[in-house]
Amino acid sequence: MLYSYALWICVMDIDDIQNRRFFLRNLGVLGGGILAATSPWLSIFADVKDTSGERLKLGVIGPGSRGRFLMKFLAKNKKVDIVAIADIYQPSIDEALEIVPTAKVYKDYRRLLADKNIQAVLVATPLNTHFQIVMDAMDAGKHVYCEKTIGYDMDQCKRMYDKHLSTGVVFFTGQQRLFDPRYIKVMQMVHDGVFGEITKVRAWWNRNNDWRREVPEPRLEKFINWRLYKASSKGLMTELACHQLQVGTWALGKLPEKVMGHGSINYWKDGREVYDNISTFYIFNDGRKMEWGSDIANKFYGLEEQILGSVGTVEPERGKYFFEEIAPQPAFLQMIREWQQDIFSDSMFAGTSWMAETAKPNHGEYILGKKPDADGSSLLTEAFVEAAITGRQPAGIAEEGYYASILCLWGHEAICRGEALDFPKEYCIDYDVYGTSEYKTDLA
Amino acid sequence: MKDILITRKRQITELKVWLACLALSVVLNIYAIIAYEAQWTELFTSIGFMLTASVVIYIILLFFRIVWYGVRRLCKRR
Repeated sequence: MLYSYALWICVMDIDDIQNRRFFLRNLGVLGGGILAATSPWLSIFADVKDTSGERLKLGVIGPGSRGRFLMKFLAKNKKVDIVAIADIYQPSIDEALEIVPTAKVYKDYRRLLADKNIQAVLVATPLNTHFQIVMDAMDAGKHVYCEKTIGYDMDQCKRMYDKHLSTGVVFFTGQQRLFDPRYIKVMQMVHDGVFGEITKVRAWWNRNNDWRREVPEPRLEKFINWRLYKASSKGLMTELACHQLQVGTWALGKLPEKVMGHGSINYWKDGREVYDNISTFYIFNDGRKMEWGSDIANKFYGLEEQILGSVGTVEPERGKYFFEEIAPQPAFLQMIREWQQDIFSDSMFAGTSWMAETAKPNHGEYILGKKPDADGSSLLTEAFVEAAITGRQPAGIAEEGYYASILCLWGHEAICRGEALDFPKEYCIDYDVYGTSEYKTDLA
Repeated sequence: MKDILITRKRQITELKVWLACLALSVVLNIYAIIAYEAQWTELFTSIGFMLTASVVIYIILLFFRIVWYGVRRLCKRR
């Protein structure tokens, strides 16, 4: 089945939106319903309602670099009219107008929200501003796509999620891996047990740069480099961890019960207030662990998530999986290498058992049969548009985003307090995928 | 420059030597398959390794043969 799937993926043009939908539908068909359990939000693409003739009036609040990145996908989508943008930084406005020249420009987002024509908003502003904007947008009846992390603290996240429930508007968060075909496929395999029992998840996001943006005047430092200051960001945990922690819980199908971690400023001592390196441990009730770390003074290992199973390992960023058992070297080569060892090495440990384990490199297999060439951002924005047009919230999408944010903020709190913290059950929501509906019932 | 003539007899001799090297490689492969408990299909799938090994053995043998002929020729001259 996998082989035929790989053949099929090779011949399709994955850049085409219609093909992407087709692709996801076929994933569902191939999965025989298991896909619905591992990635229930994909049901949005199976919606029977024909939305081909409809256009969503969208406003973008915060068309900075991330906002514009998403706008490029939305601007190509025939079902979207980006009718307005709101920002207080003129260079961002100017660059956004190059993508959507006819969009109305607002300096105050509240005026954008007051526009009755606008049905949905994309919020890509600094972290500390998400809460108020999203709450106001939902009160105004707008469907909301909010970049991660959704709130500055756990309480804000909970209130935003509750507001989404009480208003009934569509709520998406910027967790693009949820719509990335290689993650979807590999999670289906993980949950099918293809890689055996998943024993650990390791993830890291390393860079070697100061994470600074150019500042035209000193007074704009905190405004432009908001990621580096405590008042507006929680640094690596809220900007990077959010994506990868969600991958871990997606793979393990549950939430951790304990977290501990440490962060410090070791290298970039340039006045920043947030850590330049972080290590965290998330511990599950069965003893399994999820490690997440980030270092921005060394990029050798780059960015990756590793899902470690008893039978195989997945590295979804590379788009590959590797099985533990691989065919050994041909006997003839094993014999020649052993002779080489006997002749040229005086070490005592060389032997057939050692050679058999290390002789053949494990190059793994591509999850989608080829090297990954895109993430899920395009599909994520497309899904949001479909949901906003139909007014139907896909299962699990808000909940995954909510818990991803909670995990980051909870981890950050553990780092700041220097303690191992238990999961704050007051922030549990009804979400059966992680079994937290039971937590919620227990609390009640 | 002088033409080098390889006689028919010499060609047959070299072919026989190389075939002996190939046979040795096959025997070594059979030994390896038994010793490492590998599959017998490796008799065919490792044919490339055996061919390579036969050439390597032939070259090593050639070196010793040249040395041998050289020494013998030297002794005869004396």
